[in-house]
Amino acid sequence: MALWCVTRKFRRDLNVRDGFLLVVLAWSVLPLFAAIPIYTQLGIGFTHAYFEAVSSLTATGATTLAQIDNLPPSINLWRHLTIWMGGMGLIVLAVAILPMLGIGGRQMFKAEIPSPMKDTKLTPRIAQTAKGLWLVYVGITSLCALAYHQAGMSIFDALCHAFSTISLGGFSTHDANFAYWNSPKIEGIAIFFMLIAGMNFSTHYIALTGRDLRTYLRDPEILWFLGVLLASVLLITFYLWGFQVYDTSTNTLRHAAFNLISIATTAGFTNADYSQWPFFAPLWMLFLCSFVSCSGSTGGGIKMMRAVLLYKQVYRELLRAMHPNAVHPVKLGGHSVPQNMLFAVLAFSFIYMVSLVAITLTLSFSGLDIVTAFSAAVASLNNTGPGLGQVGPGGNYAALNDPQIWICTFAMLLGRLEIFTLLVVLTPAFWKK
Amino acid sequence: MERFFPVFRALGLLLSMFSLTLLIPLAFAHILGDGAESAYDIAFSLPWVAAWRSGASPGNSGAT
Repeated sequence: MALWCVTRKFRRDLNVRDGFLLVVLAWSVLPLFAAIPIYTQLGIGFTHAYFEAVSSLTATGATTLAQIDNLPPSINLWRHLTIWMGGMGLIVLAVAILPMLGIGGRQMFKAEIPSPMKDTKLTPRIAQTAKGLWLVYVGITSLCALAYHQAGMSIFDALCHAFSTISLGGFSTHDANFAYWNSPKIEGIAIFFMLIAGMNFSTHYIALTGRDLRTYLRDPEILWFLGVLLASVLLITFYLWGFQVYDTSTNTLRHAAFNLISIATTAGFTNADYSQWPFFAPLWMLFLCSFVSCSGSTGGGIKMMRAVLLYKQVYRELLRAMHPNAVHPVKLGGHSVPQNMLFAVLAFSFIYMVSLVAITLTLSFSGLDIVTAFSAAVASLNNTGPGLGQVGPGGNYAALNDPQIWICTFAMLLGRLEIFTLLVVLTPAFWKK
Repeated sequence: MERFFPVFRALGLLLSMFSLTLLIPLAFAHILGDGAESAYDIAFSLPWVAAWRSGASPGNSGAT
């Protein structure tokens, strides 16, 4: 309020650099405010309160809190409300409102929306786009809450879990998470809505406004998304069944499907301690979470579109090695992908890998065992939440010391802002006139 | 520094809007009486206290 009052005479359209700075400032400063109720009510340290708030607003779902069942209901509501707002991006909401107040939002939107195709516009005006996306977001959340309530959740739990599901956050109002209900019906609803939330919201918008469900079939990213998840569920089900982890095949499929889709889409709900499963299964789930979610969804990671483009580019290089003079354009959905986009995807993937290695090494250097360090880095950078080892579903981030918590907090912000947005502000060139 | 003022203006607006969302759990806490009312009172009033402390008001342009 003070900031706005002092600077309210300085009106001009925001340029690209302003957009980057605003997004980074917003995602660093908003958690300070979001942390106040947690800090003052629960009496936890500032580091843990800020971590909790960043985890909420980045839709990560990592927590340091224990005995969640005993939290005041309003604190639980606040945690889930912030995770819901963070899921789609508070900035997108602001873009829908700020133009009415005389602030252009195009640059903010470009910096914030989680997609490799940031210039894609659904409607001519950016504010209309943001409003459309939010309407879809609110509509799907409402349907999810109704479905949860119908399946047996209380109204409060249904609302909180709908917030957490559609944002792919993974917070729960119970320590036991979805195991609290032990209900295949509720888990089925969660799987359905996690899949919906893992798809591009622009596709939902186009499908709903055009009233044409074939839109989903025309989106190659969604087909890859569903294909990879289906294949992975079958793989992990057979793998767990081979080790006789569960007594029946139905039970194996149920637990494999729920936990895999939850972790892969970066939601982070659990109905079992999957860290007790044979090691390949949780490792595969963590691998998936780094790329499965679609661009323009509420999920984290490098996004399926980038992964598909990387795969196609590698395949093209193989063809080029065999036929050096042939022209092999990289195509997606029948369209040639511009070379500059391929370079951007390569650069992003490189910086993503560098960030992942750097965070893992830093956490390891700080004293964490390698499984915890690596999984915490993956789970934080991809905004997933639970990892393995000390930060697995059987424990939480309270096992980490303050410097380790700060590293994970930074990783969550880095992942949420798709690395470049944050790093670009830290370069000296950004601050030159 | 002045070149960042439009960014700070947008940020201030964003923070103000965000502080309004605290009203939802605040109302919820008051209705349920779950003991967390004061936490939201503090969180909600902080931006306004900050505004008052800075001497800013809607009538004060503050463009110095």
